[in-house]
Amino acid sequence: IRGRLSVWLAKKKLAHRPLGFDYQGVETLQIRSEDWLSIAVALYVYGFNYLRSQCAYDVAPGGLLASVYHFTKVQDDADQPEEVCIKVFVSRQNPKIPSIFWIWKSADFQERESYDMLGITHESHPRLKRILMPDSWIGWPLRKDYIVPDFYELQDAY
Amino acid sequence: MADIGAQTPFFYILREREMIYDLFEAATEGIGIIGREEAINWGLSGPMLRASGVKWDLRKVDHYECYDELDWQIQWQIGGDSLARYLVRIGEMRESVKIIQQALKIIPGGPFENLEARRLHRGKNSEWNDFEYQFISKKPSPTFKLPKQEHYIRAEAPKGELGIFLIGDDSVFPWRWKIRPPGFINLQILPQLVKGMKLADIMTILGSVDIIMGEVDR
Repeated sequence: IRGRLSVWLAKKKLAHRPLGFDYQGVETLQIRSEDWLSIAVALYVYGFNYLRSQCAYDVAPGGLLASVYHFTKVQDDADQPEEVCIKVFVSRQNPKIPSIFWIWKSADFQERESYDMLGITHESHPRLKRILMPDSWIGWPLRKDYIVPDFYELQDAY
Repeated sequence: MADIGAQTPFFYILREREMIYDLFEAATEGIGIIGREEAINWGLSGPMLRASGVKWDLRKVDHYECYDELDWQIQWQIGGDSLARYLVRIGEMRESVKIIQQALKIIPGGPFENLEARRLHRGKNSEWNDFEYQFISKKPSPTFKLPKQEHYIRAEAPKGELGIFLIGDDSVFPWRWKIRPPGFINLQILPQLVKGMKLADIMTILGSVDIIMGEVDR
């Protein structure tokens, strides 16, 4: 079974891969990083006007990095509106995803946070710099292969 | 002080100002206006979205828990300036009181158990003061396991939409636990709101956005 959005995207001949449904019935699609911008515009045209959250995680230590976007339609007096979850997988060595800041401005800080924590560069994002860690930090803290530097506070105090 | 999360001084200041009501309206009207489309595009949620004319409240949209059985209205205003946000928050306080009164009436009857009171009543030698019970809130239960699924759960916090994206890993610890803090996302719009305003209005705008820095920084 394919969800409504998957059928609509297939009609417009936009490349995507449906990943089935979430445990709450949310449709999940996988998009390639090159196609992401055009499909993002198509989603905005379809009606998804609210980027709820943008999250990034790594799939396996040494494997791909994934960036997850949750969209929904915000209307007055809404009643369980449609929502969709988009995943973009990128390689660990060269993680580049086009930024969707110019379509949904709510991606501003969230993309900066996934850049800061996992190193996913968002192209054409204005002012993409570290947001939670200090500006001169080296390394991407939330990757699974990150080694925490030896802090004075974390050493055993006797 | 606002960094640690104390926001009651903001309310005290607003209450003092309400004594001089005209001054308050002049200070907050027309400050930090957000249009309806912009508010949706910037991903705002909670009182900021509702003050810009969008009737969106997760408690009504998602139909979660027992909010459907209670009778209450969404507070919203058009004209997304600081005054509108203030009115939305005050209206929400009033609606919350009504919700609490209705909820108190529909609490199911029956006996209830209060272990803490029993422990204090029995004194030092009671079985409730045992070694096992002292750490009862610190140990995870032996059957606790996060299955290998991913969930995005959302709730309506006073700031906005608090979302948790959890990827389980068949063990006690999750693989990824991302919190979508409403304050973080509501703060994104601040540079745009401040453009063209007087310097003294920054405090008004920041107070109306209702920021808790602890949630922003995590």
